[in-house]
Amino acid sequence: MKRNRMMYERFDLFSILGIILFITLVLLSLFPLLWMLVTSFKTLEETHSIPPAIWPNSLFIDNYLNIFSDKFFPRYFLNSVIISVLITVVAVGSSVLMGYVFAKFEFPGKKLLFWAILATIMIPEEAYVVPLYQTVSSLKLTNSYLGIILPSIISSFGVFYMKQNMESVPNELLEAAKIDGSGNLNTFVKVVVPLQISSISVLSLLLFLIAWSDYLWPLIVVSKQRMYVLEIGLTYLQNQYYIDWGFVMAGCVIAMAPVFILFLIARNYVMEGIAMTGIKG
Amino acid sequence: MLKYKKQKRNDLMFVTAVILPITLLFAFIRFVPIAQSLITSFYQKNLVLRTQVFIGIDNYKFLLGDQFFIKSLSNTMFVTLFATLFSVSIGLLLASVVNSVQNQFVRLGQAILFLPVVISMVPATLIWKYIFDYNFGLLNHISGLIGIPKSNWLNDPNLTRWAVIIISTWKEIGYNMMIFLVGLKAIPRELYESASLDGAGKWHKFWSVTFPQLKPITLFVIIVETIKFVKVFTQAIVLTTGSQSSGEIFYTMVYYLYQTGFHLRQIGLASAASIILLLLVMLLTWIQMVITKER
Repeated sequence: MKRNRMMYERFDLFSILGIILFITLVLLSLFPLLWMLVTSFKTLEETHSIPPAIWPNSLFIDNYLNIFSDKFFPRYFLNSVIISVLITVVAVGSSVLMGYVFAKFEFPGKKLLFWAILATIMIPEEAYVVPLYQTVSSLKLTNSYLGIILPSIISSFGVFYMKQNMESVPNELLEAAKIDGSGNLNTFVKVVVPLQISSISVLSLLLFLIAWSDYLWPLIVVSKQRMYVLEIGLTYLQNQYYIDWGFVMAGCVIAMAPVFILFLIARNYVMEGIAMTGIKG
Repeated sequence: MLKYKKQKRNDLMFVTAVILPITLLFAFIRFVPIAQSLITSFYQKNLVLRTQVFIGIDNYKFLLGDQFFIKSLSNTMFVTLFATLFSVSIGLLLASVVNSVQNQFVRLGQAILFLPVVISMVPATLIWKYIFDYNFGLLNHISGLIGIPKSNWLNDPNLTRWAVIIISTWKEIGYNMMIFLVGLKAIPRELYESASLDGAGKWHKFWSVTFPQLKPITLFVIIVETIKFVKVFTQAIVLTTGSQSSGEIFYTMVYYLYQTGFHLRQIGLASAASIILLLLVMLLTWIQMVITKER
């Protein structure tokens, strides 16, 4: 009995230490984001004071007003939205179609093609950006939406993921639709897609987040400031001679807002998507 | 019979209409560029001089003798080693706490720990750039309060690599915690119960049950993180460029590739660097596949 009590106490000590560690790390994780938010309301004098002002003197919203009236920033935001939405729509559409065909149809060369696509999952973008840039550049597509979205409008992972999910669509259902005289496209739109709404949502969120945070390719392919995406534009909020941190942080808050909103309303889908792939980061 | 034939033809048309254009797209933006990368790596190709000469493996020889490439390689390895070590071990610790205590506060904490994972790297790095700032950064202020002299985080490559490690760790612990949680939940309860019957304490249970059971998933997380970190680039370039107050450039493998390919326009050399990166990633992926199969 005594021995049991001792074990219980030991258990408690571990739990308490664990919880303290957990709380500390949660606060440390959250802190930079809070610091960004607080800083975005500070004046230039406040961010450039020594010691740093912890709290802004008054609610200074000029940073946000300056961001919105910036010559280019609203354009960066719009570019990011257009590009991420285009990529998501095309990449998800092609993945769903390819996944369905791979799962439910037979055709010559199917195995070979599937393995070829699967193999490209492990090949990082960095390994082929150089020749891809030359191709895009020779097609005169630099500084255009098409040029920016081109490498991302198909997703090897998306095809693989949708094929796995499409396997679960019952063949009897497809047969029944066939007997009813439904054409292939009709069956796909009216029977298959509704059954896969949740896997399609997970994939869409994941591909949107990846597109939203893409940095290397836009950096390479865009040189005109009006075609910058947020990821590039944010770094240009830094002045050549000094950095107005309040202004830069306001830009960061705006750039993160859509991601935060998506995370708030669809946390489980977002987490599932990111967990599956480990791609983002 | 006629109807069956018509059906067959419809299927064939549908399959062709889907497969053909998307496969061509895959060829155009994946298969062909990858092959081109490999081929170009054996040429001396300069976009400015518009020259293209076959030179065999000279690009690779040059890289291995180039001090900047070696530097970028060692920087990348250093960051990868420590960022993986920290993010995986902290992720495991957090997952064990979360797994043993389940309530709404813990779930809220979990969501907060996941926030850095979902935000994009550029704003994430900019926040830290302010914290690491020499004059106005919070870190130098706090270290000053306890009597440590200011550190030039962004101007001294030896410190910049730690800055990159801190940002990378911060961004990944939430992801690792979540993967470990999945692994912890999959451990059969009976194993713990029989360990309890044997009189094992919490610490002992961790070493005799949890750790061996988690081994495959730990290896998996380590490989996934390693693959992410060998491609480290955004943190390095955003921390060290963009303003005069930014510091000395911190080369990583991808940064080197970007610099030689898109600033110096030495396409052959950049391709060779990208092939070396590719081989590294493929080796890691292969190890990951072997491990996953064993599970």
